[in-house]
Amino acid sequence: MKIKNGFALRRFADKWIAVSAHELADTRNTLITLNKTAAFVWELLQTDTDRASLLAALTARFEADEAVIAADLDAFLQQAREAGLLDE
Amino acid sequence: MNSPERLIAENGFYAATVHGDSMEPLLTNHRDTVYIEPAAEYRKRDVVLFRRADGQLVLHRLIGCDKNGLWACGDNDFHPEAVLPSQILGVMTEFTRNGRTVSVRSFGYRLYSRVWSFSLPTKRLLHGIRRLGRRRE
Repeated sequence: MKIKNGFALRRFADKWIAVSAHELADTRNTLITLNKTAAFVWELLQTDTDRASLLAALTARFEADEAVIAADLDAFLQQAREAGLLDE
Repeated sequence: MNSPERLIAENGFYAATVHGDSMEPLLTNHRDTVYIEPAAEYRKRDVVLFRRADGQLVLHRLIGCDKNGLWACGDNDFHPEAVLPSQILGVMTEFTRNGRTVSVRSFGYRLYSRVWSFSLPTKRLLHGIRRLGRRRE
């Protein structure tokens, strides 16, 4: 899976924001605000990967219980799927 | 629809990729992105996002703010247009240039905006110098 083309991850005003490459106009999913962890996952999803690889990278990066990280990852992936952001 | 007006009302900001070349050499078409926040007042040299009467969304610099109103013009344009405060959605407070985030409070940007807000004849001269430099590259 990977994030669909057409988004650029930018850091503005201490926020991570995925900015659509679509025109400055009235389009869907124009911008998505991400926290630090979600921005890390988003960057990994710039190239084709899978859930197991994402989970391994997250557990190596963040000090938290793997079950908690897995639940957060699944929630993020579900939201991204529902928003139509993933190519799978 | 996620209109900029709605996103600003809901989130307090808007961010988007620049389309068009009217703000070159500062912002490059399809490459650079801008971060827009609402402002209580507008000042000369602010880069503002506004909506024209025909619905078109425009990102230009305010080159005049006086009792006669607000005047906006792209850094790469030479035709100022009158803008009402009610048309303005917000002010650019940060932008990315070739992937690097720049604040409008930075020294380099403030210097650039001062130079680029000179009179229109001076701007034409600056564009001429820039074009000459490009030809020699």
